[in-house]
Amino acid sequence: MIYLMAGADTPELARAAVDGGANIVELGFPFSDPLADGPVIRRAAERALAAGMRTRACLDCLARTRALAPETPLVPMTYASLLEAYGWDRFASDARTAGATSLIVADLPAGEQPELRRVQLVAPTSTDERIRLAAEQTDGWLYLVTLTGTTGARDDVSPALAGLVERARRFGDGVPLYAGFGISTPDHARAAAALADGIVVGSRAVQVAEDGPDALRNYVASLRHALDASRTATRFSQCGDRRRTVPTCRVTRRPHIRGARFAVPVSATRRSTRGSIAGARCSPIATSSSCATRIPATGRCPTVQRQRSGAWPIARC
Amino acid sequence: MTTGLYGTYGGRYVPETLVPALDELEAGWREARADPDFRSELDELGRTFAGRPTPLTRADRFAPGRRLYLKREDLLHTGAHKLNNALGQAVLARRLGKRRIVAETGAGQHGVAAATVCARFGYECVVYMGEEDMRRQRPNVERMELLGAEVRPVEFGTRTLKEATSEAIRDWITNVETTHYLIGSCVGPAPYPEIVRELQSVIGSEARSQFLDAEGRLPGVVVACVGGGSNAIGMFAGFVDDTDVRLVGVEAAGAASLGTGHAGVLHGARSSVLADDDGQIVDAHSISAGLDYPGVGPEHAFLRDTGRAEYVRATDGEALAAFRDLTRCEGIIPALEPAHALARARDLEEELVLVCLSGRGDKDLEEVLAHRAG
Ligand SMILES: Cc1ncc(COP(=O)(O)O)c(C=O)c1O
Repeated sequence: MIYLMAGADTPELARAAVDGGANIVELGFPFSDPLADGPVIRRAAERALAAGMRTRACLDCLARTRALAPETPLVPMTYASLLEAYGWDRFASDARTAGATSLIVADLPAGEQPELRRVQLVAPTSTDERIRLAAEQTDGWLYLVTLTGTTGARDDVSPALAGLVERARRFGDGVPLYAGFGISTPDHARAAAALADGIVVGSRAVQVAEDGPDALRNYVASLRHALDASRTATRFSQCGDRRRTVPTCRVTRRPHIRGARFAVPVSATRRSTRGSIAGARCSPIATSSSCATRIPATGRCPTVQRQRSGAWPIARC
Repeated sequence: MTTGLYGTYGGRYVPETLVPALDELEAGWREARADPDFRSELDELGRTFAGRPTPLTRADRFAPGRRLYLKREDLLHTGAHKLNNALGQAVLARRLGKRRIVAETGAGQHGVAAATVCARFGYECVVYMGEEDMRRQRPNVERMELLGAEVRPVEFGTRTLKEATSEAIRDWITNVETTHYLIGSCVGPAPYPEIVRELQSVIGSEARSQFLDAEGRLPGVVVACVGGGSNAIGMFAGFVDDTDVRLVGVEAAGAASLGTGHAGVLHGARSSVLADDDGQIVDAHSISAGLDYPGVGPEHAFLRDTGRAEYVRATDGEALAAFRDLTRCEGIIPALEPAHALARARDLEEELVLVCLSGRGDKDLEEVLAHRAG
């Protein structure tokens, strides 16, 4: 998942990110006082506001992005002040009309305004109880804030991520976990993806985007490559171990109840699932490998297990 | 929102990372309030360290023909009411096991109060201050540094209290496990507005009994300046149940979050803020760094809406005139913040007036002299 600040050339940038391999695009609606953001995104917000990116303009930007990336989930990320001013319900409904798949409000923790459907965040400081609440209220997946801090690239992936993933698996009721904050390099991407189900890259993507769509496409492709290579490697080792193969699938089926607006590729290296939908359509992401023959190249997976009603599907082939 | 509400104001609009810390703070605060040792430790510190009770002074020459009294928080140790709050939160931080303090400051009075309690309690202290405020409140920067605090300049945005507060909160998000955020006014996410109000309510309860001693009856009107609103809410707390007593808050004309603002979300709470139609916070402007803030405590927004308190404005020029007059007529140099309250207090019609003189003006001399020259 790639974060971009809303702006005049954001639709083309988002398209480039998708071409580079991004599965979801997060679209920042700038706020004058972004408490959760470090210097890079804060400055990007200042520039966007100076360029006139107010709520209406951001919604237009969202609609244009939707037109250029018709299949990609788009998630506006903003702060409560914008919703308060625009009207909570009106914001949610206008954003949906403009093509938003869901919403993230950085300063609206789980438990507050529960009627506003949105992706919830959990952090290393979250108690088990709050993780449970966030998972229950979230719209499709949980955003794991990997570190105690604001957005911004760091040298290493936070050591707190492993523990947070472990607790979120235990208390999150099978909701997919996407890790963000501090992730910027292919190595980070690989390390974080070994723990979580997906990764979010913000500050570095915003910086690279300043160099235009080509630079962004290449950058996202480098992350994509690292992720896919590590998944293939995982699979090889599993084949070599003669353990049951748990390859990576693309699930193109939409989940029915909660989070129904999302239909994205979900990696399937996860186990803890409940219930199952047999015969969902899957196709392997990585093909040329020694054990690829054991996976149907396209078509039906033997089983696709699904979590508690409403969360996104987790495929197992 | 479910926690810390004043009508529809207040609440907790913060990143998830802080929620557990706010829960912990709330629990620690409830425990402390129920503990007689907490109360007696604070009373003792107030008496032997801070200089409580502060006196009530009649100001005859400043307001001829009226009976106007000043509650002398300018005589409190460190020179402003801010110490009441800082001492209370320092004791609270010790109970929570936090030994690093972050704070924001505008006028520098809260920063000095925070640095002072950190020196006394042996805590590490980091104070965020806008570059513009560091320039106009230089003496307080030097005091903080002498007291052992690290003053971190905030060099972006408005370069004033709003940005300093955002940076202090970001520091807290980053270091939340070891750090207590010593907020300087009755703003921020729940339970801060309540904590700060309770810790400042000593102003109002002392002033009420002192006024009764002096006049045998209650004032007709109580006046205080409003930046974030802590000296005002502390003063009002003593009189809010006396429904005959008028409560008047005075904002800076260029930073009238209550007078010209509307509902919005800033620094963790829903309150009345200076924001445009899109919810973007707009710059405030005041000669007084302590009032130069586009937000205000949620309880004030509630008191305004219910009509229990009124909020009026004073301009930079009116504050400067009141500053000069109090200095010349009474031999008291006020801070520019309470000079706003003094400016409006003189034209109220009540005979019996109580004004919160929230701080002394040493920090403002350079600014005032520059204006006199210019
Ligand atoms: C002397 C004095 N009065 C008033 C204020 C404004 O703060 P509040 O409205 O919280 O009392 C300040 C803030 O720095 C101050 O230094």
